[in-house]
Amino acid sequence: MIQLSQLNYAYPKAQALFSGLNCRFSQGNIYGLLGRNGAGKTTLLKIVAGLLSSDEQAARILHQPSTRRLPDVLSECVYVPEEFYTPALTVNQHLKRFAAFYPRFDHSMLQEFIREFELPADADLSSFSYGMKKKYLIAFSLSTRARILLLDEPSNGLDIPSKSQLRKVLAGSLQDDQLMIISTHQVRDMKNLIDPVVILDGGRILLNSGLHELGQNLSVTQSKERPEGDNVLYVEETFGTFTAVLSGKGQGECPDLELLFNAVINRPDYFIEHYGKEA
Amino acid sequence: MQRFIFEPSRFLKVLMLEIASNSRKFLSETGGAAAVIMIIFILTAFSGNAQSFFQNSLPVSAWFGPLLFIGGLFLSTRAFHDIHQKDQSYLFFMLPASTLEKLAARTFLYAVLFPVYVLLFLFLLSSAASLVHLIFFGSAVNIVKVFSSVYLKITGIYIITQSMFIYASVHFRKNAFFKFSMITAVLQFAVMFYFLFLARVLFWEFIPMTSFSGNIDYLIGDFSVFKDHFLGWFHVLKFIFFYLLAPFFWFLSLVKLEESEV
Repeated sequence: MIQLSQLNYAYPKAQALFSGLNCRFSQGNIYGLLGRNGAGKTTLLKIVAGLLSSDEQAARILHQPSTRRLPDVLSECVYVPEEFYTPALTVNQHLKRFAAFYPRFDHSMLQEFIREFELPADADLSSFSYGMKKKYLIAFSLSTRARILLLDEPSNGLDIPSKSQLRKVLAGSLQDDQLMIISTHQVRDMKNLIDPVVILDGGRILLNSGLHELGQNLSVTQSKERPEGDNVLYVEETFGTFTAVLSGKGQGECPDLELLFNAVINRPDYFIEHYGKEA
Repeated sequence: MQRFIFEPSRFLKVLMLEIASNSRKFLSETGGAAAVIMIIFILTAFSGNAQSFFQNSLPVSAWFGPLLFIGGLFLSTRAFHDIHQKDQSYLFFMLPASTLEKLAARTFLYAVLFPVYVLLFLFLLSSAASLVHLIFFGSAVNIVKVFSSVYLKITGIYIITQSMFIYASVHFRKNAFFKFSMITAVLQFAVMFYFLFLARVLFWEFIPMTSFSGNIDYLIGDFSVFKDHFLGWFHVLKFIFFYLLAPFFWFLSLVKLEESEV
């Protein structure tokens, strides 16, 4: 559904952010796009959405170059940015004016999400708090039934109950012909939701793998002594206990995402070699 | 071609969306304009000139031009203000419509619907003023004639001029109205002085000469001698203004919009 081939991108007067990046995102998955600050997660989402220009053939969504911003493609691709704007409309006005652009828009689904998120059924969007606006926009984007959903830091600014509501809504809404990419720092918020995981750093994809595959090949140990050896990918000490990520046969359960992320950043070359392939 | 994707039904959806999104702004600005006009009316009434205000010196209909060429052009330079805003631009670019449809919708809103709206506003205002006049002075004043051809002509010139300001709105991130007005004014003077100088140098024998001086007056002579020679050129300029200028700037805006990023 999304194909990045030899993607190059640099902001004006800045070093190249991506240089020959390759990646493919397939339908039926909720991808977790992880990376440090400035790694290019948001930039990558914007390139996919056609909001930033790349070489015409480098970023393709639904077999079309994303830079063309074709109406048929845009009606199948929704982007919810971290910093967003809501027009001066009521919920009903917004719904009436924007839903018309999405041929498969599901009104009953939206009403269900509005109830789930405990949002007012018809109020002025400008009277909503930041979190309420975000929940509404996410609910709207899911209700479009667009085939590609790009969510940038969806859990940022949400209160604790809203985060679990968000997980529930996201998990329950994805269909087989859809693809969701969630860019986030809040890996704990997205636990048990994202799979596969893509980790971006220094303009490269260090890891692009399903959690099951990672669970088969990585294991986590805890001990009072610092583990040593070639198979030790990352060690973290907390209150005198050493938690380590090890390569080799695992128990089938993927390491905690935060631990995995640190391991990947710690041993990028190992992960590129084993898990940096195209999805 | 990808650049010229245009579907009337989708254009209408974009237009309706634009109207809905801008209606609050339009209403508040209309209130502001009505307040200014009414303050002038009241001040004139207090000075004892209320009748002349409406009937002779400054009829309500005379506000049509200024509202269009100041208010309308100013609003037009803000038509694409959102594409330069970090948190708003994605809404415009991600809306499932072609760039041409989006450009056409906003241009139509500010170039065609805005004059109609202003005319309607002035009609209602002049009707209200006429009623007030009738109550206080015992006679009604003229109500704006909505279907006068004068308004059509003014609107035509406004649409052409407005195309340049629409482009300015796409091009400039901030203060598009002032930047574009300054640039056109400077360019206008530069071109004028260049051609005056050229005419002085190349055709000096045809122009009644004043003695050379560094003063700007030196450039100003009796150029009426060229009238017959250049009459054809004036027709060309007129043709360019009426038929080519607006399409040229619309196309330029389209290309610029397609190249724009968030």
